Amino acid sequence: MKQTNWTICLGCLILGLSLVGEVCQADPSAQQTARGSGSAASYSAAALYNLGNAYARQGLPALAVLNYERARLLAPSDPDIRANLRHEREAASLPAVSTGFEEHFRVLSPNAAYWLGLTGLVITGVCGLLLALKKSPRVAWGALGGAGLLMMAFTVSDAAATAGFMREAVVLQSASASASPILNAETIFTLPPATLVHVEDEHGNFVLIRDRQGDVGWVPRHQITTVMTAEGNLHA
Amino acid sequence: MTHSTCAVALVACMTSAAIGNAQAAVTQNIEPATIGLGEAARLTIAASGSDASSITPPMVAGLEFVAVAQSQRIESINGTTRSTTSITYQVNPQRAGVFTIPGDAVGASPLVLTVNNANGSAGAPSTPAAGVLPNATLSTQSGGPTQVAANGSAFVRLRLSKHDLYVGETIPVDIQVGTRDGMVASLNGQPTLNGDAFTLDRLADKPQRTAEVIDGNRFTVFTWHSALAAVKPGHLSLTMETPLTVRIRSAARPDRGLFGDQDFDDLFNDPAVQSLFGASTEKEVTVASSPASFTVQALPTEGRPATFSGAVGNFTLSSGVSEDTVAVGDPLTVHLHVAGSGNFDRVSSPMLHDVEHWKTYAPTATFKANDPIGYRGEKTFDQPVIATQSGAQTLPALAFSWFDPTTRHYVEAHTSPLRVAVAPANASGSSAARASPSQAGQPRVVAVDSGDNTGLKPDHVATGLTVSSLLPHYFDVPYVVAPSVLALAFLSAGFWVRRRERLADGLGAAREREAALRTEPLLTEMDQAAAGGNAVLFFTSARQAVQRVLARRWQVPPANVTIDQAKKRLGPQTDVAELFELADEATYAKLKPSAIDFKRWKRVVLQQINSEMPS
Repeated sequence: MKQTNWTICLGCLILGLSLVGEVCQADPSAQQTARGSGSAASYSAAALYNLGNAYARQGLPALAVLNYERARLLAPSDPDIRANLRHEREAASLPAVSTGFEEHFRVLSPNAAYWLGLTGLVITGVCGLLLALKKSPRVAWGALGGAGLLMMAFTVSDAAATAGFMREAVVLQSASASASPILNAETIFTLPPATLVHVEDEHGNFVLIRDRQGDVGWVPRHQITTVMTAEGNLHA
Repeated sequence: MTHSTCAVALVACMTSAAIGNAQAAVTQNIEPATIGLGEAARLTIAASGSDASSITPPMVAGLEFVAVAQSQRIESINGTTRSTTSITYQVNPQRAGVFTIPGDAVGASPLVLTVNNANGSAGAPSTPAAGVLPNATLSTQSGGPTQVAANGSAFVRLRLSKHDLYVGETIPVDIQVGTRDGMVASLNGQPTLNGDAFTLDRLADKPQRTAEVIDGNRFTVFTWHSALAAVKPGHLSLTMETPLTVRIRSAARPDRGLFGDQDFDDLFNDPAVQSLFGASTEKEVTVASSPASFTVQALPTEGRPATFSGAVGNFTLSSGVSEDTVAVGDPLTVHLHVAGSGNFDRVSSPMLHDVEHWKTYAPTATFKANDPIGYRGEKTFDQPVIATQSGAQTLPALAFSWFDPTTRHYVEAHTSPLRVAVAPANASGSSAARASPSQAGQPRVVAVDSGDNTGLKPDHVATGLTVSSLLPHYFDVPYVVAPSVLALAFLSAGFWVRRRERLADGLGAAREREAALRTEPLLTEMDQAAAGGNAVLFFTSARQAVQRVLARRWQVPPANVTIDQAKKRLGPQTDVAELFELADEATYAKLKPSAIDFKRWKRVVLQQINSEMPS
């Protein structure tokens, strides 16, 4: 009887946590968001994807790629987003970005991975307590706790993979990368619009970027915009 | 050039204009002379040597005249200047009939306009004649307010058919940019959308160009026809803006005018004239439209058919097969036609799958637009199929569903099942039977899931969950605190459990020790043994009682209280050692009770116990 009660408690805890997570993630106040109406920014994968489509149809590949990348962040397993992103890159004559890992292994959005890890933490913690209290069946609690640890490990690996993406940026307009972060410095290479670069460093109005070929140079800050932005100016 | 030189030149111009006024002549013409009800004609009234204010629209019952354009031409031949002003009116008939447009008010010849009703009862063909204005389209769209920029140089205007939308619904939109003649040097780009809640189809490179008079000023109006769709629900607003280069005065305008005459000053201050004399400079500005408000609703979930793919609009459905009679192994094509108006990029059909006696192949889709923006048209799905069994076969009905924004309900339509007579396969086998479906005359143009001719996947209808930040939760401080606190709570709980266990273990041992050191039961046993003459039990109990007392005193286990320990700690002549020896003797040698002084040995025991009691 005691064993059944413990199981029910654990189930309720996990369910409650998941519901809290979903409610927090849904953020109903954000449903009425629009830049034109002046309220706070909100993001959904579908809206960003549709926005990317609109920019693509208007012949603005940089903004299209930027919004596709943002949409991909929220829905990494969406095949339409990947297809249109690939299409825009090809249309802009940009080299394809390898997304093999994401296509095959990344099925959850970062936020979903977070909630998964939190659920794993709760499962592991509760099972650890049950084991400490010498509650039966100890094998079942051990196995469940192990599953919780795996969930936490998944979240940690997802965070590690996403951390690199935090400093990814899209070139908005054709940018000349120079050797120094000063005006009129020598141009060492040029980046076409919609190129995805990695921001290495910042200095004044310049940022140090590295492109997919490994070339490094300084470009004016206003010519790029980061994919992942907390405040979220969609139009950069 | 100095002001005085300008004045001389302008006086000369105005003098010539005054001469021209004396020879005013008015002409008018209408094109076409015959139209259908619901169409519009174009009436042009031209007055030579006159200004626009002298031309007034005619008054004809049943006809509406809307000024749409104004032009002025100035000719100078052999020193004689002649100006001609023309105003074009859009003539909208309100009923069928033959109308006479008088010309005597302006001194021109009268004109006749014939308006046929829908069935062409006036004998004229009902098809639109060349040159007819497309007012049927524009009349369904409400013109937004015309908000001319502060310097009066330009405006951006949206013409929309409705303001209540559903997510994914497409509506036609006309984007109009008006530039005042002489004040705008160039348009520096196409109008762009402000706001992330809407999508707009790509605008044409060459917009439609018309003229319009606003507050007596002539504007060239560029019109782009496009399709607008909302991507998320809510009360939203939308503006369009366009960059352009305007000419502005470089010199301040005198309060009372340069010449003190209104006509002279108006002419002098005209931007075109100022530009001519180099008195203006160019500046790049951005002009925005007035905000257009929308109420966008999410598509209802109630009653949504399983086959719904996001199509919103008004559609009709039909189907057919390329051949009614085929042989086993010969391919034929199943056609599904979806016609109407709406977001055709979301019109999709899975067509046929797993049909008994038929082998099906992947379908293709083509779209034929009936208007420039792809809002009206017909999408055709073609699916090659091959019969695998002879006889009268039936291809099942095809289904397609959409959301009708007018009725606010989902519609699920089905075609009729298609009957095909399938003959046995030819012995020699037809070449078509061996050919792959794509080689059997089926044009493979666009994949079914392809959204439009840009090659992009179509827009998503459902907006899904929204988040307030793109930053993942595991990098967001408040979200990191929560699991940290939770982990700390679990660790604390674990430590608490362990500590409680340890405390419980310690308490049990103490209780055991206490129980082990209690002597009252042993004294009772001694009394009972003495009364019964049981020497073995008496000495065993006495020894245990003394061991417990001494163990507590010496802080050792009772078993460690031995004869040697007693002699060592209490002295070689101690009664305790003797008691222990007697206990051993009683156990192993069976002492006779008569020879034992039970009272004495009980006193020894009580002496040891009492020495432990607090004084």
